[in-house]
Amino acid sequence: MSEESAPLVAERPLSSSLFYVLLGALVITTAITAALTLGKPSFEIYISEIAIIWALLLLLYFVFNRPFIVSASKTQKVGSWLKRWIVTTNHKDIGVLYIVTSLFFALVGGVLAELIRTQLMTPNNDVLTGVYYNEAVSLHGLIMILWFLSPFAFGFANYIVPLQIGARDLAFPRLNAMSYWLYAFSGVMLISAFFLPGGNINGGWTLYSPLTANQFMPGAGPTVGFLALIMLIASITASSVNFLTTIFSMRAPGVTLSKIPMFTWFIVFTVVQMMFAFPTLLAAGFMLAADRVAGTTYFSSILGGAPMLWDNMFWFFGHPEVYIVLLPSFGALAEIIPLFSGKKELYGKNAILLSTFAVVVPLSFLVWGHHEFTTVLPLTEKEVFMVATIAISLPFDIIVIDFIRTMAGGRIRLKAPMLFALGALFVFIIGGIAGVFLASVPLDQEFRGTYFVVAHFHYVMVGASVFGLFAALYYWFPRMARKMYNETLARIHFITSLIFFNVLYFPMFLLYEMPRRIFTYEVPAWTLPNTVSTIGAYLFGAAQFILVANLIYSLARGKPAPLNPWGAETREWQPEEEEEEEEEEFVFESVGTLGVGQAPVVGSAGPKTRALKTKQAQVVGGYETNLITLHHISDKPFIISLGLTLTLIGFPILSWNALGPSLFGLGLAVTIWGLLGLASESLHEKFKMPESLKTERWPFIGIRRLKLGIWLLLFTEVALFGSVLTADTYVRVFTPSWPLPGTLHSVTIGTINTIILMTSSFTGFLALNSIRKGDQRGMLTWLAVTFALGASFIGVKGFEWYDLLSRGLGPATSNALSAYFFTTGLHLAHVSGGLGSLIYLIKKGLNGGFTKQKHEAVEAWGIYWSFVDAVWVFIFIFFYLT
Amino acid sequence: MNKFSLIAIWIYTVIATILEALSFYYLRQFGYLLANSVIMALGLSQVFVIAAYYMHLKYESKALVIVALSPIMVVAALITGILFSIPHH
Repeated sequence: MSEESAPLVAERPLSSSLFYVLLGALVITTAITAALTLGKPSFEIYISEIAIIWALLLLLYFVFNRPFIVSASKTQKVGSWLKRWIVTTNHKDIGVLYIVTSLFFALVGGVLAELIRTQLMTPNNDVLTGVYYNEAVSLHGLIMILWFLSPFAFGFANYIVPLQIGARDLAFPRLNAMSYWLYAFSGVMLISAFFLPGGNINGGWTLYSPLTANQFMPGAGPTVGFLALIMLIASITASSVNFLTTIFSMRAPGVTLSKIPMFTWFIVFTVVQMMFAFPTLLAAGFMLAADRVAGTTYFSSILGGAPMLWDNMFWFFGHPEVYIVLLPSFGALAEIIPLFSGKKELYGKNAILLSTFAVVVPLSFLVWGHHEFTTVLPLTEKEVFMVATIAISLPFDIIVIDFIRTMAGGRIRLKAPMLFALGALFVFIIGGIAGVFLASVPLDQEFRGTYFVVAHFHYVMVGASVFGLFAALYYWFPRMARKMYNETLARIHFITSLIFFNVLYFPMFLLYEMPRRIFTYEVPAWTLPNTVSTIGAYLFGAAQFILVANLIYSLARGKPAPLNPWGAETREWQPEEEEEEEEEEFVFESVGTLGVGQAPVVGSAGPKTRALKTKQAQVVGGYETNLITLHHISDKPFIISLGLTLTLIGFPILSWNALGPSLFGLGLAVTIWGLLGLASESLHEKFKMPESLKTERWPFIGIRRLKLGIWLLLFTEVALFGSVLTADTYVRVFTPSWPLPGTLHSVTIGTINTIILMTSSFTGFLALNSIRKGDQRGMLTWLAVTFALGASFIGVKGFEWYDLLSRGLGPATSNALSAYFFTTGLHLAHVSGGLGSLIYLIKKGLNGGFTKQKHEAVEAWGIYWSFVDAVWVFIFIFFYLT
Repeated sequence: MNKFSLIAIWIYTVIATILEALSFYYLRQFGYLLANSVIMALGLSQVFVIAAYYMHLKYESKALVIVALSPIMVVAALITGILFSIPHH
């Protein structure tokens, strides 16, 4: 291939990607709209509207962004373009993928919002039926909160945080890619549920029980939706662990805790809160899926379960989730406000950090009960939650006042980032004040379940979070695209968004008497606010296309951005970052001809690549991690995530038609293929991420990356099993007749199995001791013994399950058996996972992969395995002895 | 850690398991509260030993110990709030 016809896929990757993703979003939204409105009089209207949007986008594309394929064959180009994004593990690429994908989901959620508002525009409207309206409302909430807001913030975090702290990438780049693909595919799963038997989830975004039980929401579709939620949480957990490990073990020399930029601090707070909150939702999600698939009885009132258990577990996650979506936005504001106010520092920086910390731990976990003020919660508990909820507004007062104080007396530059920052503050103050009303028990009795609440949380979550993240988008756009956005369009975007946002949501405050969970109404007094609100929704939605147009236009035709257009002092804007960036481009431009671990083929590379190769030669030795980039790609995260998606879509529809078993079988095969490939990649060390010890690690000095990562993972595991055992305790106290210990399970067998597992921890430790002394043979022997003990534990547990089931005692028999099968099943899954990774360790050990100096993986595995043992102690006591 | 200490820890975890089972069989006649308290104490001591030695927390920095213990606080908040919310409890 000559240099003239060299691949140009990287010339406009962002604009092209954005365009195609939006195109995909429109295909999906058209399909969803068709599914929800088919046969209704307004069906043609919606399809026409979407056709107009399509036409506008296509016009934008052809006017501003000529086809990116300008040479070589189309197939080669598309293949190369796709491969670039599929195999990348680079934090900047993953960041871009998160941003673009989250905008895709924003569009899907936005179309659903327009459908909701249209239905409510006039009394007795029949655009949507009740069930379809419920689907639209449920999916709008779930998509906007979980598939748009947090991932949008994660996009910036991925791109910016490593640059701000001087890290070459995230601590575990493949895990980062896996997080992204799990997220993207979980969204695909969620949307696919629209087209499966039973339709999608229709019990509201809060998924209240018993609405989500099979009896009230039958079919495979909702089950697929719940499995998508579980997959998303797995992605979020992996990301949280990755970010914390990166920030606490990969900071460049000099980046001490006091010098960590504010955005990175807020990402720390966000992911810590995620690690506390999401395991509870994960536990509840597992239970809900088990209720629907395996017949357990946790939340089913019909089968004797405890629906209020869901409320508690959901809101224990759900209220902190508000701050999870808010904090990254505040992090961006903390960067933007002082910079655009001409101030060197944020006023009250330490007060802001302390206030945010107080919100994260413990306040946000002490307020969930205010979502249950209208339930049978005891009054004393309501009072405690009321005080805690009012108290949580105080740290936010400090933060907002410090932001305002920073601006006071400053030379304010009203550029788009600052305008959106101001907008975010303005609407957050309104939303925050409305929230204090809801903290009061008597007022909450009036407002709960009305449109006042809808207005409140949209002011907080759309206004503060989205406006703040738009500020972040405009602020970092020149850094990410190396092009300037169009300031005029950006200002029009801001003005229209702010005005139409208020037209959309303020009337909802006036609808404080209208129940929020109705799909139609007859009260004449509600018509005007609803009509105004709907007009606001159309206009607010249309205003967002100004942003899309600006992005596509600026990416294609924008002026080149100066290296530091805002005069910022944080590390991501400093010129020395350029060198690293070009090195990364080196890999990705060559990726079309590169396999994992292969050296780049000079003849296939373009001029830029050759120039970079020269540059790379110059810096060899300058970076001890220089070679990372050569091996910094992997397609395994994509393959495994794809396989899991197919499996999880196929599983609930196994008995539907031939599609179910086909998807399930194919998915399983693809997952296993991906896992084996991942193991092979690691065994042959094709994917390298060498660890530099010359980093700032306080307070984790001397703790290597993998060990810190495994401990942070266990942090979430403690919360997960803690939540499960808490739920078991709740069900136990709730159930009038819990069987006496010893009547269902044999204490003798349980004791023997416990001793087997205790012994396996001991032998696992002996394996570590052996390799510490350089005794590879000893290590392999003890690992093999550990495997045998672990397998024996599974065997004994299998026998116990078989015995119960053969006596007709299944998960649906009673609450006690439901809890037993679920909890021991979850534990068994962990034991099986441990044994699977033990096979990998043994194989690596046989290849001589561990030495006296290099045995981190054995130590990390031992820590995980011992944790699994510790959990079993609680399970043994709970189900067998007490 | 020397081999003797390792074996002693293993023996302790095994003996504690057996004592838990024996408490179940023989202490219940003196009341569930006593039996369950002894069983819980033995179980917690097992978990403590596993975390301290097999998971090496005894030899790690305080920061890592805090990481390991902090989710317990959250679980404590959940269990406290959730149990008090049970109707008519």
